[in-house]
Amino acid sequence: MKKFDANDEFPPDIAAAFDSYSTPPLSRDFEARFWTQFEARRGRYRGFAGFLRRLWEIEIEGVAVWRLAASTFSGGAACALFFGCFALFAMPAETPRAAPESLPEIPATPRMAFDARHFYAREWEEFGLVRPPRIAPQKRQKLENGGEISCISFENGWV
Amino acid sequence: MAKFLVLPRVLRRRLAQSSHERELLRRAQNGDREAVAVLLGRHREDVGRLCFQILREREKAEDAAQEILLRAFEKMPQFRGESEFSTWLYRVALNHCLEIKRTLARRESLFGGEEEARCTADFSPRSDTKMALETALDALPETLQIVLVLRQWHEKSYEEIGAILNLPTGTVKSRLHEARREFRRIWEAQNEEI
Repeated sequence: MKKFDANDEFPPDIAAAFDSYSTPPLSRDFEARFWTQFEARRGRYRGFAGFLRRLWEIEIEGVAVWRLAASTFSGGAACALFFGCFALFAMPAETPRAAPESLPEIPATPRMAFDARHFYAREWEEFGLVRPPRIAPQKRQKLENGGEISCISFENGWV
Repeated sequence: MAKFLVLPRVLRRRLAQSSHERELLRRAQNGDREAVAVLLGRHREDVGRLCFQILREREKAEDAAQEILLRAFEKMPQFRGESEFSTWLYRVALNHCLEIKRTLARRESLFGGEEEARCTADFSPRSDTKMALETALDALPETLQIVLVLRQWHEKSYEEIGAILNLPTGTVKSRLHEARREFRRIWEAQNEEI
């Protein structure tokens, strides 16, 4: 009598359940349908277009070759992009080893001499006013009461 | 001496069979309708059964079986004869059925209500045992489910299962052991609930 091996076999109730599981038979027109479709598909591979189609549908392990090629190419491109960006950002900024060469002197032009003071003076002239006074150095004055006062002197006199 | 050179009868028959099969395959690869018919007659029931056992719906299983056989005979020139034709056919069938099953599962997760209603409409009477068996099988991971189906219903050897799934025999054994253990646990839990 065969011994029941709990490690490698099912107990009798489960084994019976598996044995009693029935699958429905294939329908009667199964074969007829198969042949109809078989002939239709065969027709697809006739002629030059059929030859191209057959080439297009070549598979490796159930995956179309063109899909494999496309995924390999896109994967490679993505990797290249990633590593390219990585290399770009990881690149250290170089410290200059020699002093930069002095720039050639730019000749002064009237336009360059037009600084704030000139601008201010021109404003006055345009408005028909007198030329703005030049700021004189401050002078310290001693007062009678012993104190000191700093005054701003203009060309026109003391203010 | 001549006695020792004579091959055993079983081996001779097997060799003859394999050469006959090779010839049949060669003819089928060249598009011989008769050879295709012979191979179709040999394998359609197995493919149909496998489809039903995985998909569990008659119409879907039959459509899948049609597609698998058509694809197989269409791709015959790509069959290199490194394995048995039946092994190759089982591999094609399993890949196709699992692909359909995954698509259906995805669709069900998206349109759960509609699918459920349709399934109820298609429902054919099943015995409690059958239902329990299907439920327990569905609860198993796909890898374990497949080895169990091939072993229990198709009576494939460990080597054959290994060839179909492209796995070493040791892995097949361990998966089968795990599948049985898991199945038994689920089955017992179901029985306790009842």
